[in-house]
Amino acid sequence: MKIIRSIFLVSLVFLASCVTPAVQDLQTRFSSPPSSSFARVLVYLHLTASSTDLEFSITQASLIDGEGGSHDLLHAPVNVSSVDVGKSQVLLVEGFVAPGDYIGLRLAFSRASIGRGGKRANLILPEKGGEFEASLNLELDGGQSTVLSLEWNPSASVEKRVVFTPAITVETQRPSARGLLLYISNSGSNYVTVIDRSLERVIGAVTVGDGPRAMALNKRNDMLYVLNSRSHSISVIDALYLELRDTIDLTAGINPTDMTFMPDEFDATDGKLYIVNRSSNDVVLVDTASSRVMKAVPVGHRPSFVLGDKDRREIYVTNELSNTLSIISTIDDLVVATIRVDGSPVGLALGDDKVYVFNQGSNSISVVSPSDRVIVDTLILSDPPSRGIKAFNKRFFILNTLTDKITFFNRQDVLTAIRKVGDSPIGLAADEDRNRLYVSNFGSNTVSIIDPKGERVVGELDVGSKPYGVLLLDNQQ
Amino acid sequence: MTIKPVLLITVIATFVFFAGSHVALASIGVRASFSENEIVTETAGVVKNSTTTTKNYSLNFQKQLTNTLSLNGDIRWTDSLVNIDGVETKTKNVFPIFTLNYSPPAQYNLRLGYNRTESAPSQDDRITTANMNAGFALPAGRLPSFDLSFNKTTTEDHAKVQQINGETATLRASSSYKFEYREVDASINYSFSQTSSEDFIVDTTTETPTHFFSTDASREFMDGKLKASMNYGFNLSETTTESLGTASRFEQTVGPSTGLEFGYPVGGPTPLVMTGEPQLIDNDRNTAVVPSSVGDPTIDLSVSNWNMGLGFTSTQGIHELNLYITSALSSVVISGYNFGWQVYTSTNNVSWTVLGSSVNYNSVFRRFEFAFSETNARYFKIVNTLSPPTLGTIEVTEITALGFAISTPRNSFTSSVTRGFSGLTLVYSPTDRLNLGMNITIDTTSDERDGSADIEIKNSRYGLNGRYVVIPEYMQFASTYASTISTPSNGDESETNSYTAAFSVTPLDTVNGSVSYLYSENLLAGAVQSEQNSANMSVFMEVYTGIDLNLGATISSSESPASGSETESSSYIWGLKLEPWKTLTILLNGSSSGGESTQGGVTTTSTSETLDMRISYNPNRKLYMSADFDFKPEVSEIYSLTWTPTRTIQCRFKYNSNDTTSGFSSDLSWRPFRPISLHTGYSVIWTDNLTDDQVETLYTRASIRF
Repeated sequence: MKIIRSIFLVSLVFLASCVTPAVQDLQTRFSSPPSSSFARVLVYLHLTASSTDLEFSITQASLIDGEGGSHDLLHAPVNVSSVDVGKSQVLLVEGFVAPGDYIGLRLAFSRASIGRGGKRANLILPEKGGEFEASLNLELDGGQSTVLSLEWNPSASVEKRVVFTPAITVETQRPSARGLLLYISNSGSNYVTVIDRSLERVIGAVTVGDGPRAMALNKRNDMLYVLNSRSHSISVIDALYLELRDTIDLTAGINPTDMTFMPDEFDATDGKLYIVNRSSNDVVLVDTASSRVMKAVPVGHRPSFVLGDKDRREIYVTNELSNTLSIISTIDDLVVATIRVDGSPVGLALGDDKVYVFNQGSNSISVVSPSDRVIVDTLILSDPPSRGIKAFNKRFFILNTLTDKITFFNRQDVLTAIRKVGDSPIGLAADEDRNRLYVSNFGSNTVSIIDPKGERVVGELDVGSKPYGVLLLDNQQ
Repeated sequence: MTIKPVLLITVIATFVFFAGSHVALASIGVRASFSENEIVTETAGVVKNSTTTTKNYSLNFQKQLTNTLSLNGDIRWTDSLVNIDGVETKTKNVFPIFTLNYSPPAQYNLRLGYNRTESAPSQDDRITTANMNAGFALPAGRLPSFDLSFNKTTTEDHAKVQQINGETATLRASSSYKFEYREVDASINYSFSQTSSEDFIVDTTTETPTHFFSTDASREFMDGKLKASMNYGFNLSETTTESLGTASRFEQTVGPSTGLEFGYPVGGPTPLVMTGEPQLIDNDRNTAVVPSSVGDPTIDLSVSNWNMGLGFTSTQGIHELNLYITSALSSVVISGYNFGWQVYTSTNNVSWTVLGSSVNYNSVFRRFEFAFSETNARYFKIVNTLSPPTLGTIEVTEITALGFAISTPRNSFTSSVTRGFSGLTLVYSPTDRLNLGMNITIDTTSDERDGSADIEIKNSRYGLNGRYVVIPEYMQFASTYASTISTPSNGDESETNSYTAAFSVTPLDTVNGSVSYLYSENLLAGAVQSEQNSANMSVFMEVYTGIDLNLGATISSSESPASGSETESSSYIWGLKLEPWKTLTILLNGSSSGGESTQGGVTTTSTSETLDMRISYNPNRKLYMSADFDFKPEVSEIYSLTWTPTRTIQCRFKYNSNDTTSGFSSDLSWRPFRPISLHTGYSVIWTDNLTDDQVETLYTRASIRF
């Protein structure tokens, strides 16, 4: 063993020294701020109820500092239609500014028109060269992300039938009541998006590390853990105040992709995070009390997803290449069973004292009894399953990431409907209080809002780049 | 307790600030938090109180060593005090973590990490846990991906008699290559891992080398109408455990470091330093020993009070001494004499203690055998306090000692698991409305263990599915078939088959419905063990804007010839969603079910009903109220309220009640300034029993960070 270790270390140093930086870093494929000290500003636009058909173009969006200086957020014109915005809130601008205090938002319009009786008529732009200014009180720190919510009333935006007077109010980021919050991790960027589920609007953003993917919530202290796959760290967010509180460096594992939280049954506030490392074939444990890596548990090959059963005190890990399910006991953190499933398991769901394993390679779901450690049933699908959830009176909802669909099952686990969502749906969460499913669409940078009983998509929201994880806080937690 | 966190932090901080030519730091952060949790439990009038107070401090920094290399440090320490009914337990922990990060301009990643924990409970011994990690990753591109990682965890306590001392190390290497050849997308994967565990307390070592290989390929035919994919994998894992076997105890001669002798004038327990006498232990049992302490030619037992002994380099457990002689006298004569034998022990060859013993003369070996209970000492001696009548010489030639030895053989146990699996999936979509699929998976495992019969299990799974869209957007039909066959080498073949069919319609955007049928059977050795039938119908209607209604009915039956039981059941569910305004949602759900089961000629019936309601109301985004009511089968209610009166204050209240318990909790958090966070909460749970038991919890947390 010592010889192998020595060979390994020598190989490591050799490889590190001989590989030339010829290929561009993956990280550069994604948008990033000009400097980590800049603050990100996301400007969202939504409507008050209105039937007025208005369109306009914005050529400039900038923040005004206390000395009257203008700081550009927008670098390309944006066309806005009240008809489109009326369907759902839209992301108008994502820009970066230096940290500091800002007192106003300035928008410059180049064109505005109104639709009446099937025809469009141009409107006269606002005075001051088509500019509009709204006052605000915004304090930005370096690296911070924040959302400015613009509420537009098209009905009050036209005076004397020909003058465009944009009736827009600005609200800076503020948290909503706890039971309304929904978090989306944007794996193509370095922030999480916060949505108010009652408004069905983006209301906030929190900067985390690079490549945020999985999220886990400690319900006892409302700390949200975000796994940053590219920066090998975990961001700890105060879920109530939308603030980054801590960062845990992951000293073990390669290519962390998924994570779950297991509360300590004896302690009042803390527990353990289980992080799946896709390339090092292990699950790393992080103690949230001390914020340190405790150990690495070897599992199967290319572990892809992890889920915890708090009642059984067990962790379930799918191994995509091995076609297995690893079961880890959280009492001694050892693999206690390995169950062979079908091709390319990539997802899991729990329910009815069963573990459902989604085999993307064989279009099937293996139903595993965690007590007997055997497969008790196999469900066959027409589309490859990737993620899913049992909710709303024990019904099954399956995401088909490869075919951009969601599959609905009834209580007998028989397929009843298939609906198209956004591109590459990858994460989902259920709001039992409001009859809503939220699905993150990795390929189209949106979140789909779904009526699970009506089996239909009822809305879509713009979020960040490559949304991955979806997590909600409810009043019962 | 030797942990000096402040000193440690100071040293590291100094290093970070002043090491190297680049003094500038990318970032440095300091955090401190305090929390106190008090639980008062009253059970049958007895009150118990427990308080946990925790202080956490942390310092983290990032030092940019070069453009691509950075050193991260994260030092944390905690002090905790647990007071349970006046009994206090203090624990201090220090967790230094250092990570050397290489953030390459190239597409590879290198990480080296080390973290160490010193945990010092006040009433226990310190425990050290260290974790060392190294990893190198080269993501897939034109070249195969390559990952190397090493992880070692050591845990050791610092008790005088150790209870924990172990090490686990895992080395992994894997490579994956994706390529396209003649319209076939394929990938090849190989990985090797070796996990070694050593428990130094029980001296057990386990090594598990594992080889894994897999490949998959997919291709589209007929302009994408037919998609085929296959995979094959092979896994070989061998585990060897070496441990100490059952200890066995046996008698053996214990080699002395010196022979000892002192002449006859003095004997007994009198302090006496004996003279070294190598001839007594020279393994020559034919030549009489010539004493060096007196002028006699030999040690002759016809003279009393000879001191004859031996010494060891360290204390030994001895239970028998043998004194070898040579004499012309017959063994009958010698064994008939009374030599007045005494056996003594000493730790220093000065002070001697008498030892109770029995003596026997062994004529075969011509030796006196002195037996006594096992005694630990460094020096032993024998004294003949009496001398027999002088009829001839009895000369001593050798003295030996016998002790017990413990032998613990090493046991080695080896097991190997070999697994091969393969799968084929075909999806045929001749039109947008028709989708047919088939998949086959065959998985074979061979398990070989030392001392056990080999076991081989073959699992085969087959699946068929078809989906036909009768009228796009309005009507579709779907059906599936799944079969699993398990064939173990040491048992009967088992089989599970299931068939489903579902017909769904969406006549309007606001109405949809479905009818489905499910049949499944379980077989063992070809005989049907059980069968299940189930039919379901469900309808959803948006009756009016803000009013949704869903209805469902299921009838099912099952029969188990193996156990001679039959069951028939039916269930109905309904749900109503009312959303008069966007801020108010009311959900009503109900169900009823009934069943009849027969076993052994005895028929039983059962019924159940459920009814619940959920109301959620948020007049604005600052306030959210919800109420949950369960009316059947048991009555319970939950009321929750979350409120954000300002940007810096959050409140939460909750009340719940059922037949046996009720509880109330409140929670207030306040962030007066950005770096400071304050949090306090109170909860109480009442139990409705004879003694009115209750549990109260009060907690407070405060944190500050820069």
